[in-house]
Amino acid sequence: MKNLIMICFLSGLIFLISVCADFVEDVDPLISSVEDELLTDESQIPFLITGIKVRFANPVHDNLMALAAALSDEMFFDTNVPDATDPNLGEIDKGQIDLNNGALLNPFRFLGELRFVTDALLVRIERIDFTDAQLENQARYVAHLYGGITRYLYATYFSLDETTPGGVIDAGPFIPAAEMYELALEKWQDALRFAVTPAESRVVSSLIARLYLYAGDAVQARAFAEQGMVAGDEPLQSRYSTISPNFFWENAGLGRPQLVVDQRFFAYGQADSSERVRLPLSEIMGSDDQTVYYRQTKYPLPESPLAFMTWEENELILAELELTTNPISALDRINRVRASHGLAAFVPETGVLTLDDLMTERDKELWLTGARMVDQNRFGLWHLPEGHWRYLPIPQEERNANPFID
Amino acid sequence: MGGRIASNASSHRCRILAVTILLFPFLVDLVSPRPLVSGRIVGTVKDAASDKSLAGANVVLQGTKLGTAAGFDGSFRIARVPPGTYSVIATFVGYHKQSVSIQVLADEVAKIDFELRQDFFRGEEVIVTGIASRTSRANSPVSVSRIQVNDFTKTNSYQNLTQLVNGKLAGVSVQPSSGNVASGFRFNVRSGTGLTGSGQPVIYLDGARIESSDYFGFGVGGQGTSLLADLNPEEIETIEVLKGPAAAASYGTSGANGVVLITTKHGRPSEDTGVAIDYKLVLGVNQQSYHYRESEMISARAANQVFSSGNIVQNSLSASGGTQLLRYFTSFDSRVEQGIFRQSRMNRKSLRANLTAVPNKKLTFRVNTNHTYNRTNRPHNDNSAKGLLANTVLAPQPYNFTDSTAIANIHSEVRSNHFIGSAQAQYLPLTTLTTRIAVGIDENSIEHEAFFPVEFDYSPDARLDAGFRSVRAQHITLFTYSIDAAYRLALGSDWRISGVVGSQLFDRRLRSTATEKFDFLTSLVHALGAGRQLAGVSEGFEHRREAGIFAEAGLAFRDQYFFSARLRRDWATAIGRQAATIAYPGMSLAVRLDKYDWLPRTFGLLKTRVAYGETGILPDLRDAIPVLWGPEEGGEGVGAVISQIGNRAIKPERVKEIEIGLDAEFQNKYAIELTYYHQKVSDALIRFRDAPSTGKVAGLPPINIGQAHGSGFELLLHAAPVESRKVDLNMTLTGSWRSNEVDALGGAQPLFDGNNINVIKDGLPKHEFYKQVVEGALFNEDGTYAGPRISETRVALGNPIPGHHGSFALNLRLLNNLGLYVLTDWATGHKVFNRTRRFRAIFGGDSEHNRLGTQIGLYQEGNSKFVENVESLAPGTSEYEAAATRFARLETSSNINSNWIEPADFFKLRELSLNYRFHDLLPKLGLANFLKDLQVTFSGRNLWTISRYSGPDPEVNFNGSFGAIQGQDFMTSQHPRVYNLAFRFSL
Repeated sequence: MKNLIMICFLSGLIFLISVCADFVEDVDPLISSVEDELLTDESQIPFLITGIKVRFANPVHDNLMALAAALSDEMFFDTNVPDATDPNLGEIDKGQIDLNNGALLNPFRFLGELRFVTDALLVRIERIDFTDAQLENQARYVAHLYGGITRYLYATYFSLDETTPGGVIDAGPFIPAAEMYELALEKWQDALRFAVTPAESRVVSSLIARLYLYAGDAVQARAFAEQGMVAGDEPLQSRYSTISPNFFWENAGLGRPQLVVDQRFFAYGQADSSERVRLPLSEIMGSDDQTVYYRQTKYPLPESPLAFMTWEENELILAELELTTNPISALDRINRVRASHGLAAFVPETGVLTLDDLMTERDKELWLTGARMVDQNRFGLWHLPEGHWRYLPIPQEERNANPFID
Repeated sequence: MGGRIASNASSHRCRILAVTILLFPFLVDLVSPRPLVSGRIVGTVKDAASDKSLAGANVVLQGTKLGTAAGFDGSFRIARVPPGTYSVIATFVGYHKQSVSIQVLADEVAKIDFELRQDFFRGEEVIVTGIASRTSRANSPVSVSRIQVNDFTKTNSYQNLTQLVNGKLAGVSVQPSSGNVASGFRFNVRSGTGLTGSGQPVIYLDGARIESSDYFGFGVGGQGTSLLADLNPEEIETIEVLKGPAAAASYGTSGANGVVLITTKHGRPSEDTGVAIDYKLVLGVNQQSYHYRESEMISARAANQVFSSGNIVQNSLSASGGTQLLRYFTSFDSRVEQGIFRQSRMNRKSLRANLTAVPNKKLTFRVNTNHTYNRTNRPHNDNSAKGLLANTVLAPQPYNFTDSTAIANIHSEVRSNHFIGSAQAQYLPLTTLTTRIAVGIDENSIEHEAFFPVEFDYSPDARLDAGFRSVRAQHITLFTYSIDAAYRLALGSDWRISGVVGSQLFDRRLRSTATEKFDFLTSLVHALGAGRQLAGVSEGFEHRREAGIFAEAGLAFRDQYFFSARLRRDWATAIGRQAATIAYPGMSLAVRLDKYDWLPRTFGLLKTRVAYGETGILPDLRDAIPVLWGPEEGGEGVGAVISQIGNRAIKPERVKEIEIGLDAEFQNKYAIELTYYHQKVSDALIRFRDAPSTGKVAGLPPINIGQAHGSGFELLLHAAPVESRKVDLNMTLTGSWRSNEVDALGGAQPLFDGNNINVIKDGLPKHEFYKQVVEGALFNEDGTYAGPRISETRVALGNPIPGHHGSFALNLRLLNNLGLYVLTDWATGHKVFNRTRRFRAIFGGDSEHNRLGTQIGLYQEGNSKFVENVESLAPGTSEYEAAATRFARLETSSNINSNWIEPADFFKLRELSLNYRFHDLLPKLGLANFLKDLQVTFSGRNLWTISRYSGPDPEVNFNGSFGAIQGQDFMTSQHPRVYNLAFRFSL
C-alpha cells in the first residue's frame, strides 16, 4: 500500500513537472478579439470597412466637431448649466487650452488610429487575391476616402501653436495645413478612381471643393464643386446608435448639456420662427434658477447622424465662389438651400448678397458641423483675444513621443 | 423562471449543507473509537509569571493522536489514555512550549501542572517560509509578518480584512480607498518597487490562490467592491505575509509584491465536552467621523445632512472539536451593516466547514470549505454627478446636478456568491519524508444590477432620465493544484538537511456579460425586457494558466546555522505563445547568536539573517499578441477596430531583493525585529506610449525596458514591562520606512494616470505627483490681479503612498479580567490630491476662493461667486497682493492641479476597546459547568484623527485601489467612526 501511494505520488509529481509548458498553452481561445493575421481574407473586408466607418463616427467625427463648436462661437461651457461639470470643455471654450486637456485626447488618438488603419487597409488589400472586384473597389474607395478625411481633419482643426494649423503623421515632423491638404487631396483623387457610383464621385468632388475653398484656391474649388453633390444626394455622414451615441447628443445636447449653444441661435429663431426648423433648440434653466440656456436639438437622439458633407454645403461653396462674380446666382443657391428646409427666400437688405449675408447663412445652415471655426478663422471673425487658441492644439501626448515637435 | 429554479436549487443545497454542518459534531462523536483499558491525565496550564489560566492551550501526548485544549480555568483532562509513559507537551500561542514526561497506569489519574513562559518574540511559532517550507520563527532566515487573528477577533469586531490588518504589520500598510462598506483597499508591501501591474501581493487562503481584485461593474463614480470583502475575519486563524522576493522566491511569478497567506480556523480535539461552541453577538453603529464646516464650504450643512448613522448587527456561531481521528471547525456568520450613507449596505452570510481527518500517523486529510453570500449596495459618490457628495460639497446650492429624491432612488446592488475550498492529503511514507497533494478552488459569481427609475428626474442626462437598467454578471474560477515532497534528515547530532521539490498549477477563467437598456415606461416592471432601447451589451472571456516547479534545499548545523537555497521555474500563458519560461533563484542564511556561550543569558534569542531572492511580475494576458482586433458597434453596424497592440517578445518583469535582519528577545520582556531590504527591478514592463499620430493607441504596448530600485527599514518592538496576576501590560511598536525610485524608462515618455498628475518617470518615486506649480501671482500695470505665475516645468510634489507608516498598540489587563486595547497608527511623507476642493472652487462652493476673489475684485456683484459684505481691496496695496497671491494658489485650471496637492500625514486613534471577562464570576454563579467563557467588549474604531489634510479623510482614493490613479480625493467617502458592543459566549 505504501509503495502504491508513493508510486502514485511520484508519478503525479513527474507528470505535473513535465506538462507545465503544454498546460499553459492549452487555453480556450479569445472570444472578443481576433489576431491581426486572421483578418487577411477577402471575407473579412466588410468587417474592416465597417470598423473604419464606426471609428470615424465615434470618437473622431463627433468629438472633433463638438470641440470645434466649443472653441468657436457656436457653443459654450458654463458650470451654471446643470450637469456641465467637465472643466476640459471649459478650457476649450475659453481658448486657453492646456496641452494635456483630457477632452482632446480621444479624438486626436483615434484620428491617428483611423489614419493608420485606412493606410493599413490598402496594404492588406494588396495581400489579398480578390474574387469580388466590386468588393475590392469598395475597399480601396473607403480606404482612400477616409484616409483623405483624416488628413483633412488634421489640417483643418489642429495646430502646432495658437495660430499655425496642421498635423502630424506617424510621429514625423509637423506638416503645415497647406501640405496636409495636399496629402488629403492625393487620397481623395485616388478615391475618385475607385468610386463605384456617380453619387460617390460627387461626394468626393464636394470634399475636394471644400478643401480647395479652405486652402484658398477658388478656381479649383469651383471646378470640383460644380462636379459635386446635387440636390437629392444623400449626405456623407456618420451614423450612431444608442450604444455608440453621437457626442453632440451625449455631451452637448439632450443627453447631457456640458455645452450649450450661443444665444444668437435663439435670436435667429425669434427673428424668424421658421428658422427653428434648422436651428432646433431646447431651453434649460441654470442652477441659479435665473439664467436660461439653450441646448441644441439638431441631434435630438443618440443615433442622430452627423453630416460630413451635404449637397447644401456644396451649394454654399458655390455661392461663396460666385459671390463677387455672380451674386444673383449665389443668392439663388442660398435660396435653394433655404427652400429645402421650407424657408422663405432670403432678400438681402441692400438688394445684393453680401459676404455677411453669406456668413450668416453658413452660420445657420452649417451649424454644428465644424464649419464655423473655419469660417471665423478664414474671415477674421475670431471671437477670442490674441494669444488664445484658434485651433485645437496637438496634445502634449504627441509632443512627448514625437522627437520632431515640442 | 429558470433563474427562480436555479435559485431554489441553490437554496436547497445551502440548507442541506447547513444541516450537515450542524449535525457534524455529533456524527464525529459517534464514530470515535473507545479503548478498553485506560487511565487519565489531568492538570492545568498557567502563565508562569502571572499564574493566570491559559484557556485554549493545547495539550498533546507526543507520538499519539491523544490531546485536548485547556478549559476556561486552564484545566484539562485527557481520558482513555492507554497505560504507558508519555511525553506530554503543552503549547499556547505566544508562549514557549513545555514538555513533561509522565507515566499513566490503568484506571489511575496522572496529574501535570504546566507553567508556560511567555515567548515575546514568538520564536516557537511555526511560520511559512516557502510553499512547502515551515520553520520556527526563531530559526527563520526571513522576516515574516504574522497576525494571530483570534487575539483580535476574540474581543473586537472587524468588517473585513482591511480593518483587521490595518496597523498590525510591520512593512505592510493597508490603504482603503473609501469609507463605503465592502470598499476596496490596497496593500502597500515594502517599497512596492515593481512597475508592472497593480503592485499587489498574491493571496492564498488555506493553500488556494484567491482573487483579490475589485469589482466595478456599472459605475457609481469610482469605488469598486472588493472580492476580499467576502472573507469573514471571524473565520481566520492567522495571516502571514511574506513581504518580498527574498522570502517569496519559491512562489515565483506573481510573488514580487509579496505573498499573503491566510489560514482559517481548525478544530482541536476536545475530550471534555466533545464540542466547543462559540457565539458572538455584535451590535454596532457607523457614524460620520468628519463634519464639514461652513468656513470651508458654503453648503456644509447640506453635506452633513447626507450622512446617517448605520447599524451593525453581527451574529457569529461556531462549533469545533473532534477527536484525534477527526477534527472539525464549523461556523455560520451573519453581518448586516449599514454604512454612513443610506445606500451603503452590506448583508453577508458566511458558512464554513473545515475538517481534518487523521486515519493514521502517516496520513492526514484536510478539507476546508466556505460559502459566502454577500449583498452590497454602493452609493453614487466620487466622480459621479449623481453622487450625494458631488451634489452637496461642490456648488453653493445643494443638489445642483441631481435632485435628492432622485439620488435616493438610484439602486445599485452587487450580489456575490463566493465559494472557496481546498482539499489536501498529506502522507508520510517515512518519518523523514512528507508528501502532499492539494487542490484549491476560488469560485466567485457576481450579479450586479443598477437601476434609475423612470419616475424620478435624472435630467439633463436623458438616457438615465428615461429609466435605465444595467444587469451584469461576472464569473471567475481559479483552480490551484499543487504537489510537493519534503524530506528532513539528521546527519549525526549536528547536521540536519532538508529539501522540497514540487509543482504548482493555476487555471483561471473569467467570464463576464453586461446588458444595459433604457427608456422604461414604468419602474413597476423594470426587467431588461421592459426597456425599449439598448444602451449597451458586451461579453468577455479570458483563460490563463500558470505553472511552476520548485525545489528547495536546507542545511542546519547545531540548530545555530541555517542555510537554504531555492529555485523556481515558471511558465505562463501570459508570457507568450511559445510558453516562454523564466527561473527565479533564492538563498538565505540565519545564525543564532544566542547559542554562542559568550553571549549574556539575558538574550533568549539573538539572530542575524540575510536572504536573497528573485521573483517576477507577469505581463497581461494579451501583451504578447502584436495586434488584436475587436468588434465595435456603431450606427453602421459592427466593425473591426484595433483593440490592443502588444509585443511578441515580452517577458516577465524581474524583481530582486536582498534583506538583512536582526531578531532579539531579551530579559524575557522585550523583543525586537529589525530588517533592512533593498529591491531592484529589471526588465520592468513599460507601457510605451507611442505618439498618437502613429495610430498605435489601442492600449500601451509593453516593452521590457524599465529599471527601478527601492529600499526600506522595518522595525517591530515588543515589550511587556508589567506582568503579574493582577496586571499585564504589553506594547508593540511597528515602523516602516520605504522609498523607491524609477531608474530608467528606456526612452519612453513618462507614464501619467488618467488625470495627468501621478507619474512613473525616471528619477522620481513611483506614482509621484508631478505637475507645474503656481509660484505666485501676476499683476497688471494698474496693480490688478492678472492670473497665476506658473512654473515652466513640472516639479515633483510628493507621493500618495506614505514614506513612513507606524503603529503603536497597547494591551493592558487589570484585575485579571478587565482588558484595555489601544491601537494608534500614523503615516508621514503622504500627499493627497484634493480634487474635491478644486471642483468646489470651480463650482462656487469654496468659501476661501470666493472671498479672496471678491476681495481682489475678480468676482463682482452678479457673479455667482461674489460674497456679500466682503470689502474689495485696493490694487497695489500689500493686502491686495497677499490676497491675490493666495488666490493664485486656489486657481482651478487643470495645468495647475498642483494647487490642490496637500500634505496628508496623519495620526489616527484606530482602535480602542474595553473588554471584561466574566472569568471569575462564572464559577460563583454556578455557570462554569456549561459556560466556559463570557466576555463583553465595547470598542471604537477611527475615533480620532489628526491630519494636515484639509479634506475629510486622508485615506482615500476615488478610483479604487489598484490603478495608476493614487491618492486622489474626488468626493470620496470618509471612513466612518465605528462603535461596537460585542458579547461572546463560549460553551
